[in-house]
Amino acid sequence: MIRNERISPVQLSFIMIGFIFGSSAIITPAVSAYQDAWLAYIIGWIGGYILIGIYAYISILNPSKTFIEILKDVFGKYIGSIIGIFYIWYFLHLAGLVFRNLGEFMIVSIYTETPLIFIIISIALVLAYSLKKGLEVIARVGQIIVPMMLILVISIFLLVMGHYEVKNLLPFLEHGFLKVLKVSFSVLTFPFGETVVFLMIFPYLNDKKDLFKTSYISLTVIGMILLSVVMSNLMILGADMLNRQIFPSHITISLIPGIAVEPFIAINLIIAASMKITMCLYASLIGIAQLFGLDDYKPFINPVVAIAVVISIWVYDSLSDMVRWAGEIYPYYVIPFQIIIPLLVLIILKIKRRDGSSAL
Amino acid sequence: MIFGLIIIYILILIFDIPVILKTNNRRKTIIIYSVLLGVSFIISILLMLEKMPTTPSIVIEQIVKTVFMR
Repeated sequence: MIRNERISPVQLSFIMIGFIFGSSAIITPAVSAYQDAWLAYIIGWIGGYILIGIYAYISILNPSKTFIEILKDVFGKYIGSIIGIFYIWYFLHLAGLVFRNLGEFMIVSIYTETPLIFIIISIALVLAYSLKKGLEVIARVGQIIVPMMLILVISIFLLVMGHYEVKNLLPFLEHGFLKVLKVSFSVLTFPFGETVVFLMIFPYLNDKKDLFKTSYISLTVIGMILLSVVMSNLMILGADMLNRQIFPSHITISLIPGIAVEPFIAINLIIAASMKITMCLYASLIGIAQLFGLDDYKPFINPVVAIAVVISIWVYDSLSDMVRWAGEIYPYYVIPFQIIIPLLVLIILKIKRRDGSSAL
Repeated sequence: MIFGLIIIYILILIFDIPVILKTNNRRKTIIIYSVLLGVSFIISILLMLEKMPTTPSIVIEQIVKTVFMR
């Protein structure tokens, strides 16, 4: 492992909460299930416990190693390095996607005259600075700003409660259970499966025995909050309007008379998306340094942030292209990264352990 | 605009040179740093000149459709 940085279980918890909240509060694939979005979300959320459990277990079997090091141990130096390169690409790509989500939301909802690139670069400069300060500083900042974000979300949820229409949840399973199952898979991959990034962060936890507890508590807290966001949007907007909106939370909030709370959505998104992008970039930086046997990632911060910014502009032609790709292609694209390879790694590690203990 | 982009990358280089010089494995760090910065610079220039190669999203979409959606 590279640096002597350590974070506490509480800090990891807040980072995970911010990460999972990420861009999910404004873009959620569950809306494709129409009035059954809440059920699709719950099924995906339950699947998230299984995935995070796999990631935590892999880390517990190799407490001081990041996923890149584990890949080299499991698959050998060369194949492990090739798979590691693909993971570094995935982390960078994910950072670029979230940059783009954030930028598009800002120019659609608030900064309508501002060029997209200006918003993305402004945020990138701040994140580059935070990466230079290191994981401990990022974790401490997360400890302060993520609770603020949670308070804002809960406050907004309480403000809109009076506008709910329960009839918007009916008719139940109108499009069939198979549709719900298909959408729940999209929910599983975005956002819960993206916690595969934390396989690069878990080794920095100071007390590994709390890893499962921390992960599951974080998932429970953020799962409930995101469920409340999905339910709020569904019960206020209704299934048809929910499915047609690109950023339903923004529309939901703007319907509250008398109070202008739309900026709070943007604040939440900046906090959460910044946490998500920072973790993705940190994971890719650690990955690059470890892949090439270097003991410091800091020289690569600016080029890596620049690559993420470039990817964010390059990756889509338009907002509608972004939404289409996120809904139709992303869930399948991430299957190897989030499910197949981690499962394979876990199986091989267990077999090696069993063979090792039987040889004794 | 291209001139502005070049200035930005030169500034990045100026900020990073002291950090690179402090590292233990300087040669390897310079090589990897050059590759990373070079890649982002080239793609930025191509984006600005609107001569972009196929975006990775299209490549990924084609792979996904071939593998999962036959």
